[in-house]
Amino acid sequence: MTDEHWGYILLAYGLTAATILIMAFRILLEHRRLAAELARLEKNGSGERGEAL
Amino acid sequence: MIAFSSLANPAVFLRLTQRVLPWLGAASALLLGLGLYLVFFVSPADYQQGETVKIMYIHVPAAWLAMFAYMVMTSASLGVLVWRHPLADAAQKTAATLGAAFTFICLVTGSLWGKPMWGTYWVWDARLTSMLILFLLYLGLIALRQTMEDSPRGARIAAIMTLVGFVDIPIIKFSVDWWNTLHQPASVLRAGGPTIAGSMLWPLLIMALGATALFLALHLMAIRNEILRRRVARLALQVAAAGEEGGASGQLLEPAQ
Repeated sequence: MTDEHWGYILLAYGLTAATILIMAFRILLEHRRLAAELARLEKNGSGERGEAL
Repeated sequence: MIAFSSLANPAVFLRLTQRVLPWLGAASALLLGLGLYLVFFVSPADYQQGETVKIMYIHVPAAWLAMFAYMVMTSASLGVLVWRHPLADAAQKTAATLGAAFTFICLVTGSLWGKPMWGTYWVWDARLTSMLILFLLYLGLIALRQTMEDSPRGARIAAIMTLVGFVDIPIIKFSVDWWNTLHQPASVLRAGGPTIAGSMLWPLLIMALGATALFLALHLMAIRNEILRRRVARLALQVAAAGEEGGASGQLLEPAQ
């Protein structure tokens, strides 16, 4: 086991964490944007919250 | 008891997932935290791989989830084609991005393990190549959905393409048995039981459970977003239609010059 191998381990864990965090933040930001947009449209009196997709 | 079919109602789904998501998130954080502690402070180094075996604790769960996501998409595609349910379409569409991300993690961590162990980042081995094909399938399905509107026809085309691509899943699973590959054969999900020592198996299973909880939480959140996105699009159309009607009637009421 060499220090070089720890480099591969840290890189693997780092890239995994980055991928998951980017994905999670993207979903959270999208949710905030959509919730705000939905609230704005409902405030404009465009109708009640529908059940259909 | 809630009937299973009633869960497919978007309003019920939104209410239910709002309650489930914090628990799922907490379970994921706890399991992954415990798993990482076991990986870095308890589990021993492998007698051949040394500490590099630690990459396996993220590579293997990522590989399982890459295939699990596709199985979720396949089940949802059947829901689209048989029941034509829009919630199944939302589940199918949103699982593709997550599946692509976990396949990407699997491929990258596999390469980073392969360099010190095999002496190369990549070989055109049956397991690696079939996994790369899965990644390309995900990218193709994401691109397909982006080029189509939210129409029932678009949903059916994506569902059929997903079912066609499912052929790659058994190929990935059995590639190490069907061909002579550099990739090692299955050591956990195999007939005859796991061949890994308990001190390494438990951290691996805990990491896999944590990653699965994380996948489910992210998938539920993404489906909720898709429901909201479609509501926003529908309401925006209603606003535009109401605006046009108002504008037209306004013009009619204006006195002639």
